[in-house]
Amino acid sequence: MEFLSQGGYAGFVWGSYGMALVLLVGEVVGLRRQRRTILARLGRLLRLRGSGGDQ
Amino acid sequence: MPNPWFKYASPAAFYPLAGRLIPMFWVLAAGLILLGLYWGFFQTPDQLGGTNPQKEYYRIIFIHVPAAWMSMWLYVVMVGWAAIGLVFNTRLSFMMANAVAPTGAVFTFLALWTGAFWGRPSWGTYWDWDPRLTSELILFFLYIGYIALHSAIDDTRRADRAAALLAIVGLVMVPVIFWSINCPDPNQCAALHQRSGLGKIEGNILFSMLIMTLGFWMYSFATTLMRLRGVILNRESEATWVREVVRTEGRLELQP
Amino acid sequence: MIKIFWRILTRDLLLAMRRRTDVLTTLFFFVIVVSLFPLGVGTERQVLRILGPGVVWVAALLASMLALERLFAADYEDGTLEQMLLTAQPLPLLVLAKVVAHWLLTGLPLVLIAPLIGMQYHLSEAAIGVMMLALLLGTPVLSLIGAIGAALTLGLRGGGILLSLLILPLYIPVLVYGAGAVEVSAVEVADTQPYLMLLSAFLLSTLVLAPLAASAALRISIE
Repeated sequence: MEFLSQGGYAGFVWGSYGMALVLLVGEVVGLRRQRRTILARLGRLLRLRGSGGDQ
Repeated sequence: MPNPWFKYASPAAFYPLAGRLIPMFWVLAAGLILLGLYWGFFQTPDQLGGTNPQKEYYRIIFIHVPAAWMSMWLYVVMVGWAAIGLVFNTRLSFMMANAVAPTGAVFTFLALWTGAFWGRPSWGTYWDWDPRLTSELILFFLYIGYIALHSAIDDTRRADRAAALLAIVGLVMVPVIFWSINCPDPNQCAALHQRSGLGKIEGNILFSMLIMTLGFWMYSFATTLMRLRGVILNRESEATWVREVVRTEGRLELQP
Repeated sequence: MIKIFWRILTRDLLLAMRRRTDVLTTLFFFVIVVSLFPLGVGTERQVLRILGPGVVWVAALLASMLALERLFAADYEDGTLEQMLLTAQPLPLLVLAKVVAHWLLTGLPLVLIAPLIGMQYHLSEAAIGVMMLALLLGTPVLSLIGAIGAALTLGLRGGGILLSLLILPLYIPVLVYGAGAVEVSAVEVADTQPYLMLLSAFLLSTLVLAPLAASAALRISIE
Protein backbone atom coordinates (compact mmCIF):
# COMPACT_ATOMS: atom_id res chain seq x y z
CA MET A 1 0.00 0.00 0.00
CA GLU A 2 1.20 3.42 -0.88
CA PHE A 3 0.21 4.66 2.53
CA LEU A 4 2.46 2.20 4.29
CA SER A 5 5.50 2.91 2.18
CA GLN A 6 5.17 6.68 2.45
CA GLY A 7 7.05 7.28 -0.79
CA GLY A 8 9.82 4.97 0.32
CA TYR A 9 10.45 6.77 3.56
CA ALA A 10 8.53 4.25 5.62
CA GLY A 11 11.40 3.69 8.02
CA PHE A 12 11.63 7.31 9.04
CA VAL A 13 7.96 8.13 9.13
CA TRP A 14 6.86 4.98 10.94
CA GLY A 15 9.96 5.05 13.08
CA SER A 16 8.86 8.45 14.32
CA TYR A 17 5.20 7.66 14.75
CA GLY A 18 6.13 4.34 16.29
CA MET A 19 8.29 5.98 18.93
CA ALA A 20 5.49 8.45 19.62
CA LEU A 21 3.11 5.57 20.15
CA VAL A 22 5.57 3.72 22.36
CA LEU A 23 6.24 6.75 24.53
CA LEU A 24 2.71 8.02 24.87
CA VAL A 25 1.14 4.63 25.44
CA GLY A 26 4.07 3.63 27.64
CA GLU A 27 3.58 6.68 29.81
CA VAL A 28 -0.05 5.85 30.37
CA VAL A 29 0.61 2.20 31.07
CA GLY A 30 3.34 3.21 33.46
CA LEU A 31 1.03 5.60 35.27
CA ARG A 32 -1.69 2.95 35.57
CA ARG A 33 0.81 0.52 37.01
CA GLN A 34 2.13 3.18 39.37
CA ARG A 35 -1.35 3.78 40.66
CA ARG A 36 -1.94 0.09 41.27
CA THR A 37 1.34 -0.18 43.14
CA ILE A 38 0.51 2.78 45.34
CA LEU A 39 -2.95 1.46 46.12
CA ALA A 40 -1.59 -2.00 46.88
CA ARG A 41 1.16 -0.66 49.11
CA LEU A 42 -1.10 1.67 51.02
CA GLY A 43 -3.68 -1.08 51.29
CA ARG A 44 -1.14 -3.39 52.85
CA LEU A 45 -0.05 -0.70 55.30
CA LEU A 46 -3.65 -0.12 56.19
CA ARG A 47 -4.29 -3.76 56.93
CA LEU A 48 -1.13 -4.02 59.01
CA ARG A 49 -2.12 -1.00 61.07
CA GLY A 50 -5.65 -2.27 61.37
CA SER A 51 -4.55 -5.58 62.83
CA GLY A 52 -1.99 -3.90 65.07
CA GLY A 53 -4.66 -1.53 66.39
CA ASP A 54 -5.23 2.07 65.39
CA GLN A 55 -3.55 4.77 67.39
CA MET B 1 -15.53 37.19 49.63
CA PRO B 2 -13.29 34.13 49.69
CA ASN B 3 -12.40 32.81 46.29
CA PRO B 4 -14.34 29.56 45.73
CA TRP B 5 -11.48 28.10 43.73
CA PHE B 6 -9.25 28.08 46.76
CA LYS B 7 -11.12 25.12 48.16
CA TYR B 8 -9.49 23.07 45.43
CA ALA B 9 -6.10 24.06 46.74
CA SER B 10 -6.35 21.25 49.24
CA PRO B 11 -5.19 17.88 47.97
CA ALA B 12 -8.21 16.22 49.51
CA ALA B 13 -10.60 18.31 47.46
CA PHE B 14 -8.58 18.23 44.29
CA TYR B 15 -8.15 14.47 44.19
CA PRO B 16 -11.77 13.62 43.34
CA LEU B 17 -12.02 16.60 40.98
CA ALA B 18 -8.99 15.37 39.09
CA GLY B 19 -10.51 11.93 38.98
CA ARG B 20 -13.60 13.25 37.25
CA LEU B 21 -11.61 15.36 34.80
CA ILE B 22 -9.23 12.67 33.61
CA PRO B 23 -11.64 10.66 31.43
CA MET B 24 -12.80 13.87 29.82
CA PHE B 25 -9.26 14.75 28.81
CA TRP B 26 -8.67 11.27 27.44
CA VAL B 27 -11.66 11.57 25.18
CA LEU B 28 -10.56 14.97 23.96
CA ALA B 29 -7.00 13.82 23.46
CA ALA B 30 -7.97 10.72 21.52
CA GLY B 31 -10.42 12.61 19.38
CA LEU B 32 -8.07 15.41 18.51
CA ILE B 33 -5.09 13.18 17.85
CA LEU B 34 -7.06 10.89 15.60
CA LEU B 35 -8.47 13.86 13.72
CA GLY B 36 -5.03 15.38 13.41
CA LEU B 37 -3.50 12.17 12.13
CA TYR B 38 -6.27 11.55 9.66
CA TRP B 39 -6.06 15.07 8.35
CA GLY B 40 -2.29 15.00 8.26
CA PHE B 41 -2.08 11.83 6.23
CA PHE B 42 -5.06 12.10 3.95
CA GLN B 43 -5.85 15.75 3.46
CA THR B 44 -2.38 17.07 2.83
CA PRO B 45 -0.28 17.08 -0.29
CA ASP B 46 2.30 14.34 -0.68
CA GLN B 47 5.15 16.74 -0.97
CA LEU B 48 5.95 19.81 1.02
CA GLY B 49 6.34 22.44 -1.64
CA GLY B 50 7.60 25.97 -1.65
CA THR B 51 11.15 27.08 -0.99
CA ASN B 52 11.93 23.94 0.96
CA PRO B 53 10.68 20.94 -1.03
CA GLN B 54 10.41 17.76 0.98
CA LYS B 55 8.91 14.40 0.17
CA GLU B 56 6.47 12.30 2.12
CA TYR B 57 8.75 12.13 5.16
CA TYR B 58 7.79 15.70 6.01
CA ARG B 59 4.75 14.16 7.69
CA ILE B 60 6.95 13.65 10.71
CA ILE B 61 6.20 17.31 11.28
CA PHE B 62 2.84 16.34 12.75
CA ILE B 63 4.58 14.73 15.67
CA HIS B 64 7.78 16.74 15.82
CA VAL B 65 6.45 20.28 15.98
CA PRO B 66 3.56 19.64 18.40
CA ALA B 67 5.90 17.65 20.65
CA ALA B 68 8.45 20.47 20.62
CA TRP B 69 5.81 23.07 21.38
CA MET B 70 4.45 20.95 24.23
CA SER B 71 7.93 20.43 25.65
CA MET B 72 8.42 24.18 25.85
CA TRP B 73 4.92 24.95 27.06
CA LEU B 74 5.04 22.33 29.80
CA TYR B 75 8.30 23.74 31.11
CA VAL B 76 6.64 27.13 31.48
CA VAL B 77 3.66 25.50 33.19
CA MET B 78 6.01 23.65 35.52
CA VAL B 79 7.77 26.87 36.46
CA GLY B 80 4.41 28.56 36.95
CA TRP B 81 3.33 25.99 39.50
CA ALA B 82 6.75 26.06 41.13
CA ALA B 83 6.57 29.83 41.51
CA ILE B 84 3.04 29.66 42.93
CA GLY B 85 4.25 27.07 45.39
CA LEU B 86 7.13 29.24 46.54
CA VAL B 87 5.01 32.37 46.84
CA PHE B 88 1.87 30.92 48.42
CA ASN B 89 3.48 27.95 50.11
CA THR B 90 0.80 25.56 48.88
CA ARG B 91 1.71 21.88 48.81
CA LEU B 92 -0.52 21.09 45.89
CA SER B 93 1.27 23.57 43.61
CA PHE B 94 4.57 21.79 44.15
CA MET B 95 2.89 18.46 43.52
CA MET B 96 1.58 19.83 40.24
CA ALA B 97 5.04 20.95 39.17
CA ASN B 98 6.40 17.49 39.94
CA ALA B 99 3.56 15.87 38.03
CA VAL B 100 4.21 17.93 34.91
CA ALA B 101 7.94 17.32 34.68
CA PRO B 102 8.02 13.70 33.39
CA THR B 103 5.45 14.40 30.70
CA GLY B 104 7.46 17.41 29.63
CA ALA B 105 10.58 15.27 29.46
CA VAL B 106 8.76 12.69 27.35
CA PHE B 107 7.70 15.28 24.80
CA THR B 108 11.20 16.73 24.70
CA PHE B 109 12.65 13.31 24.00
CA LEU B 110 10.02 12.71 21.35
CA ALA B 111 10.84 16.02 19.70
CA LEU B 112 14.52 15.07 19.64
CA TRP B 113 13.87 11.59 18.25
CA THR B 114 11.49 12.75 15.54
CA GLY B 115 13.82 15.63 14.79
CA ALA B 116 16.65 13.20 14.15
CA PHE B 117 14.46 10.94 12.03
CA TRP B 118 13.35 13.93 10.05
CA GLY B 119 16.87 15.17 9.69
CA ARG B 120 18.19 11.98 8.20
CA PRO B 121 16.17 12.05 4.98
CA SER B 122 16.10 15.81 4.64
CA TRP B 123 19.61 16.90 5.68
CA GLY B 124 21.36 13.59 5.26
CA THR B 125 22.31 13.14 8.88
CA TYR B 126 20.57 12.25 12.13
CA TRP B 127 22.18 15.03 14.11
CA ASP B 128 23.41 18.31 12.77
CA TRP B 129 23.76 20.55 15.83
CA ASP B 130 20.95 22.52 14.31
CA PRO B 131 20.21 25.34 16.79
CA ARG B 132 16.60 24.35 17.30
CA LEU B 133 17.35 20.72 18.04
CA THR B 134 20.33 21.63 20.20
CA SER B 135 18.10 23.94 22.23
CA GLU B 136 15.63 21.08 22.58
CA LEU B 137 18.47 18.93 23.90
CA ILE B 138 19.34 21.54 26.51
CA LEU B 139 15.68 21.68 27.49
CA PHE B 140 15.83 17.94 28.01
CA PHE B 141 18.78 18.39 30.36
CA LEU B 142 16.83 21.02 32.27
CA TYR B 143 13.91 18.63 32.77
CA ILE B 144 16.23 15.81 33.83
CA GLY B 145 18.00 18.18 36.21
CA TYR B 146 14.72 19.11 37.84
CA ILE B 147 13.68 15.50 38.26
CA ALA B 148 17.12 14.45 39.46
CA LEU B 149 17.41 17.22 42.04
CA HIS B 150 13.97 16.47 43.39
CA SER B 151 14.63 12.77 43.78
CA ALA B 152 18.05 13.36 45.33
CA ILE B 153 16.60 15.22 48.29
CA ASP B 154 14.88 13.13 50.92
CA ASP B 155 13.09 15.90 52.77
CA THR B 156 9.98 16.58 50.67
CA ARG B 157 9.70 20.20 51.61
CA ARG B 158 13.30 20.96 50.75
CA ALA B 159 13.04 18.90 47.55
CA ASP B 160 9.98 20.77 46.36
CA ARG B 161 11.45 24.17 47.03
CA ALA B 162 14.93 23.46 45.71
CA ALA B 163 13.61 21.98 42.48
CA ALA B 164 11.23 24.91 42.16
CA LEU B 165 14.08 27.39 42.45
CA LEU B 166 16.10 25.42 39.94
CA ALA B 167 13.22 25.45 37.47
CA ILE B 168 12.83 29.20 37.83
CA VAL B 169 16.55 29.82 37.35
CA GLY B 170 16.34 27.55 34.33
CA LEU B 171 13.51 29.54 32.83
CA VAL B 172 15.43 32.78 33.32
CA MET B 173 18.47 31.26 31.62
CA VAL B 174 16.54 29.63 28.80
CA PRO B 175 16.31 32.72 26.56
CA VAL B 176 20.03 33.41 27.09
CA ILE B 177 20.97 29.81 26.34
CA PHE B 178 18.75 29.56 23.29
CA TRP B 179 20.02 32.86 22.01
CA SER B 180 23.63 31.94 22.42
CA ILE B 181 23.08 28.70 20.52
CA ASN B 182 21.16 30.41 17.74
CA CYS B 183 23.48 33.33 17.45
CA PRO B 184 27.00 32.22 18.35
CA ASP B 185 28.56 34.97 16.30
CA PRO B 186 27.21 38.35 17.36
CA ASN B 187 29.04 40.00 14.50
CA GLN B 188 26.90 38.55 11.85
CA CYS B 189 23.80 37.00 13.19
CA ALA B 190 20.43 37.75 11.70
CA ALA B 191 18.28 38.90 14.58
CA LEU B 192 16.25 35.71 14.83
CA HIS B 193 17.07 32.68 12.81
CA GLN B 194 14.75 32.22 9.90
CA ARG B 195 11.35 31.48 11.30
CA SER B 196 9.75 29.62 8.44
CA GLY B 197 6.74 31.83 9.05
CA LEU B 198 3.65 29.94 10.07
CA GLY B 199 1.79 32.02 7.56
CA LYS B 200 3.63 30.36 4.74
CA ILE B 201 2.64 26.82 5.64
CA GLU B 202 -0.08 25.24 3.56
CA GLY B 203 -3.48 25.42 5.23
CA ASN B 204 -4.15 21.73 5.72
CA ILE B 205 -0.71 21.08 7.10
CA LEU B 206 -1.02 23.94 9.56
CA PHE B 207 -4.45 22.70 10.58
CA SER B 208 -3.17 19.21 11.32
CA MET B 209 -0.24 20.61 13.28
CA LEU B 210 -2.52 22.71 15.42
CA ILE B 211 -4.98 19.89 16.00
CA MET B 212 -2.17 17.57 17.01
CA THR B 213 -0.82 20.22 19.36
CA LEU B 214 -4.22 20.54 21.03
CA GLY B 215 -4.45 16.78 21.21
CA PHE B 216 -1.06 16.55 22.88
CA TRP B 217 -2.10 19.27 25.26
CA MET B 218 -5.21 17.35 26.30
CA TYR B 219 -3.01 14.28 26.66
CA SER B 220 -0.69 16.21 28.98
CA PHE B 221 -3.61 17.24 31.14
CA ALA B 222 -4.67 13.63 31.43
CA THR B 223 -1.23 12.22 32.29
CA THR B 224 -0.38 15.08 34.62
CA LEU B 225 -3.60 14.66 36.56
CA MET B 226 -3.08 10.90 36.75
CA ARG B 227 0.42 11.37 38.05
CA LEU B 228 -0.76 14.07 40.43
CA ARG B 229 -3.32 11.74 41.97
CA GLY B 230 -0.55 9.22 42.59
CA VAL B 231 1.64 11.90 44.21
CA ILE B 232 -1.26 13.03 46.40
CA LEU B 233 -1.98 9.51 47.59
CA ASN B 234 1.66 8.95 48.46
CA ARG B 235 2.21 12.20 50.26
CA GLU B 236 -1.08 12.37 52.10
CA SER B 237 -1.10 8.69 52.96
CA GLU B 238 -1.58 9.41 56.64
CA ALA B 239 -4.83 11.27 56.12
CA THR B 240 -8.15 9.57 56.85
CA TRP B 241 -9.64 10.45 53.51
CA VAL B 242 -6.76 8.65 51.81
CA ARG B 243 -7.40 5.55 53.87
CA GLU B 244 -11.00 5.64 52.70
CA VAL B 245 -9.91 6.00 49.10
CA VAL B 246 -7.43 3.18 49.39
CA ARG B 247 -10.12 0.98 50.84
CA THR B 248 -12.77 1.69 48.24
CA GLU B 249 -10.75 2.31 45.10
CA GLY B 250 -8.22 -0.29 46.03
CA ARG B 251 -10.93 -2.89 46.25
CA LEU B 252 -12.28 -1.87 42.84
CA GLU B 253 -9.07 -1.52 40.93
CA LEU B 254 -6.96 -4.29 42.35
CA GLN B 255 -9.31 -7.07 41.32
CA PRO B 256 -7.24 -9.84 39.72
CA MET C 1 28.63 46.45 55.21
CA ILE C 2 31.85 46.71 53.24
CA LYS C 3 33.59 45.61 56.40
CA ILE C 4 31.72 42.36 56.70
CA PHE C 5 32.27 41.66 53.00
CA TRP C 6 35.97 42.11 53.50
CA ARG C 7 35.97 40.03 56.65
CA ILE C 8 34.36 37.05 54.97
CA LEU C 9 36.55 37.40 51.92
CA THR C 10 39.78 37.45 53.89
CA ARG C 11 38.61 34.66 56.16
CA ASP C 12 37.87 32.39 53.24
CA LEU C 13 41.17 33.21 51.61
CA LEU C 14 43.04 32.50 54.83
CA LEU C 15 41.28 29.19 55.35
CA ALA C 16 42.06 28.20 51.81
CA MET C 17 45.68 29.13 52.16
CA ARG C 18 45.98 26.68 54.98
CA ARG C 19 44.75 23.95 52.68
CA ARG C 20 46.77 25.00 49.74
CA THR C 21 46.39 21.68 47.98
CA ASP C 22 42.73 22.41 47.25
CA VAL C 23 43.64 25.41 45.19
CA LEU C 24 46.36 23.65 43.36
CA THR C 25 44.30 20.57 42.51
CA THR C 26 41.84 22.69 40.55
CA LEU C 27 44.65 24.26 38.62
CA PHE C 28 46.33 20.98 37.90
CA PHE C 29 43.07 19.40 36.83
CA PHE C 30 42.66 22.18 34.32
CA VAL C 31 46.17 21.73 32.98
CA ILE C 32 45.85 17.98 32.78
CA VAL C 33 42.57 18.06 30.92
CA VAL C 34 43.91 20.59 28.48
CA SER C 35 47.03 18.53 27.97
CA LEU C 36 45.11 15.34 27.33
CA PHE C 37 43.28 16.55 24.28
CA PRO C 38 46.26 16.75 21.94
CA LEU C 39 47.12 13.21 22.93
CA GLY C 40 43.71 12.06 21.92
CA VAL C 41 43.12 14.25 18.91
CA GLY C 42 46.55 14.43 17.39
CA THR C 43 49.16 17.13 17.66
CA GLU C 44 48.79 18.67 14.25
CA ARG C 45 49.18 22.40 14.56
CA GLN C 46 46.16 23.42 12.56
CA VAL C 47 43.83 21.09 14.39
CA LEU C 48 45.05 22.32 17.75
CA ARG C 49 44.61 25.92 16.78
CA ILE C 50 41.00 25.24 15.91
CA LEU C 51 40.32 23.16 18.97
CA GLY C 52 42.19 25.33 21.43
CA PRO C 53 39.55 27.85 22.44
CA GLY C 54 36.82 25.26 22.90
CA VAL C 55 39.02 22.88 24.82
CA VAL C 56 40.29 25.56 27.15
CA TRP C 57 36.80 26.70 27.94
CA VAL C 58 35.41 23.23 28.50
CA ALA C 59 38.32 22.53 30.81
CA ALA C 60 37.61 25.79 32.63
CA LEU C 61 33.97 24.78 33.06
CA LEU C 62 34.89 21.40 34.45
CA ALA C 63 37.57 22.75 36.76
CA SER C 64 35.20 25.41 38.03
CA MET C 65 32.56 22.83 38.75
CA LEU C 66 34.90 20.55 40.63
CA ALA C 67 35.91 23.39 42.87
CA LEU C 68 32.34 24.45 43.56
CA GLU C 69 31.60 21.67 45.98
CA ARG C 70 34.01 23.26 48.40
CA LEU C 71 32.35 26.64 48.23
CA PHE C 72 29.87 26.01 50.98
CA ALA C 73 30.79 22.55 52.18
CA ALA C 74 33.24 23.44 54.94
CA ASP C 75 31.04 26.13 56.42
CA TYR C 76 28.02 23.88 56.19
CA GLU C 77 29.72 21.12 58.07
CA ASP C 78 30.89 23.19 61.01
CA GLY C 79 27.72 25.22 61.35
CA THR C 80 29.14 28.55 60.23
CA LEU C 81 26.70 28.65 57.34
CA GLU C 82 23.73 28.47 59.65
CA GLN C 83 25.20 31.35 61.62
CA MET C 84 25.43 33.36 58.44
CA LEU C 85 21.76 32.76 57.78
CA LEU C 86 20.87 34.00 61.22
CA THR C 87 22.81 37.27 61.20
CA ALA C 88 21.23 40.57 60.35
CA GLN C 89 23.68 41.00 57.51
CA PRO C 90 22.24 40.65 54.02
CA LEU C 91 22.90 37.09 52.96
CA PRO C 92 23.56 37.94 49.29
CA LEU C 93 26.48 40.08 50.38
CA LEU C 94 28.00 37.25 52.40
CA VAL C 95 27.49 34.87 49.52
CA LEU C 96 29.14 37.32 47.15
CA ALA C 97 32.14 37.55 49.45
CA LYS C 98 32.50 33.78 49.49
CA VAL C 99 32.16 33.57 45.73
CA VAL C 100 34.78 36.25 45.18
CA ALA C 101 37.18 34.38 47.45
CA HIS C 102 36.40 31.20 45.58
CA TRP C 103 37.05 32.84 42.25
CA LEU C 104 40.33 34.33 43.38
CA LEU C 105 41.45 30.85 44.30
CA THR C 106 40.11 28.83 41.41
CA GLY C 107 39.21 31.14 38.52
CA LEU C 108 42.00 33.68 38.56
CA PRO C 109 44.75 31.03 38.39
CA LEU C 110 43.19 29.79 35.16
CA VAL C 111 43.42 33.27 33.70
CA LEU C 112 47.06 33.50 34.71
CA ILE C 113 48.01 30.14 33.30
CA ALA C 114 46.33 30.83 29.97
CA PRO C 115 49.50 31.86 28.17
CA LEU C 116 50.99 28.46 28.89
CA ILE C 117 47.96 26.75 27.44
CA GLY C 118 47.98 29.11 24.51
CA MET C 119 51.49 28.06 23.73
CA GLN C 120 50.51 24.37 23.88
CA TYR C 121 47.83 25.00 21.29
CA HIS C 122 49.90 27.27 19.09
CA LEU C 123 47.60 30.22 19.56
CA SER C 124 48.76 33.63 18.39
CA GLU C 125 49.63 36.33 20.89
CA ALA C 126 46.49 38.23 20.06
CA ALA C 127 44.47 35.10 20.65
CA ILE C 128 46.14 34.49 23.99
CA GLY C 129 45.43 38.06 25.04
CA VAL C 130 41.79 37.72 24.10
CA MET C 131 41.64 34.37 25.87
CA MET C 132 42.94 35.87 29.09
CA LEU C 133 40.45 38.69 28.90
CA ALA C 134 37.58 36.36 28.09
CA LEU C 135 38.54 34.03 30.93
CA LEU C 136 38.84 37.02 33.24
CA LEU C 137 35.28 38.03 32.41
CA GLY C 138 33.87 34.55 32.14
CA THR C 139 35.27 32.59 35.08
CA PRO C 140 33.58 34.82 37.67
CA VAL C 141 30.29 34.15 35.92
CA LEU C 142 30.99 30.44 36.23
CA SER C 143 31.65 30.82 39.94
CA LEU C 144 28.55 32.94 40.44
CA ILE C 145 26.16 30.64 38.60
CA GLY C 146 27.88 27.65 40.13
CA ALA C 147 27.21 29.03 43.58
CA ILE C 148 23.50 28.63 42.96
CA GLY C 149 24.01 24.99 42.12
CA ALA C 150 26.29 24.46 45.09
CA ALA C 151 23.70 25.96 47.39
CA LEU C 152 20.93 23.78 45.98
CA THR C 153 22.92 20.55 46.29
CA LEU C 154 24.32 21.30 49.73
CA GLY C 155 24.98 18.14 51.70
CA LEU C 156 23.46 15.75 49.17
CA ARG C 157 24.98 12.41 48.40
CA GLY C 158 26.24 12.25 44.84
CA GLY C 159 26.40 16.01 45.06
CA GLY C 160 29.21 16.54 42.58
CA ILE C 161 27.67 14.68 39.67
CA LEU C 162 24.27 16.13 40.38
CA LEU C 163 25.80 19.58 40.51
CA SER C 164 27.34 19.09 37.07
CA LEU C 165 24.03 17.96 35.62
CA LEU C 166 22.30 21.03 36.96
CA ILE C 167 24.94 23.62 36.20
CA LEU C 168 26.47 22.67 32.87
CA PRO C 169 23.45 23.67 30.75
CA LEU C 170 23.52 27.05 32.43
CA TYR C 171 27.18 27.47 31.52
CA ILE C 172 26.54 27.21 27.81
CA PRO C 173 26.24 30.92 26.96
CA VAL C 174 29.58 31.66 28.61
CA LEU C 175 31.13 28.74 26.75
CA VAL C 176 29.75 29.82 23.39
CA TYR C 177 30.82 33.43 23.61
CA GLY C 178 34.02 32.83 25.51
CA ALA C 179 35.32 30.31 23.01
CA GLY C 180 33.85 32.31 20.16
CA ALA C 181 35.82 35.37 21.18
CA VAL C 182 39.09 33.50 21.00
CA GLU C 183 38.21 31.87 17.69
CA VAL C 184 37.37 35.18 16.14
CA SER C 185 40.55 36.78 17.40
CA ALA C 186 42.48 34.55 15.05
CA VAL C 187 40.76 36.23 12.13
CA GLU C 188 40.24 39.82 13.21
CA VAL C 189 40.81 41.09 16.70
CA ALA C 190 38.41 43.99 16.37
CA ASP C 191 35.61 41.49 15.87
CA THR C 192 36.02 40.23 19.40
CA GLN C 193 34.45 43.36 20.80
CA PRO C 194 30.80 42.24 20.71
CA TYR C 195 31.76 38.96 22.34
CA LEU C 196 33.57 40.71 25.16
CA MET C 197 30.68 43.11 25.60
CA LEU C 198 28.33 40.16 25.93
CA LEU C 199 30.59 38.51 28.47
CA SER C 200 30.76 41.74 30.44
CA ALA C 201 26.99 41.97 30.36
CA PHE C 202 26.76 38.44 31.71
CA LEU C 203 29.20 39.33 34.44
CA LEU C 204 27.31 42.41 35.52
CA SER C 205 23.94 40.72 35.59
CA THR C 206 25.15 37.62 37.40
CA LEU C 207 26.98 39.78 39.95
CA VAL C 208 23.63 41.18 40.93
CA LEU C 209 21.29 38.24 40.39
CA ALA C 210 23.30 35.16 41.28
CA PRO C 211 23.94 36.02 44.94
CA LEU C 212 20.21 36.60 45.35
CA ALA C 213 19.36 33.24 43.87
CA ALA C 214 22.13 31.52 45.80
CA SER C 215 20.92 33.01 49.08
CA ALA C 216 17.41 31.82 48.38
CA ALA C 217 18.83 28.40 47.62
CA LEU C 218 20.82 28.39 50.85
CA ARG C 219 17.74 29.22 52.86
CA ILE C 220 15.88 26.40 51.14
CA SER C 221 18.67 23.94 51.79
CA ILE C 222 19.25 24.79 55.40
CA GLU C 223 15.94 25.69 56.93
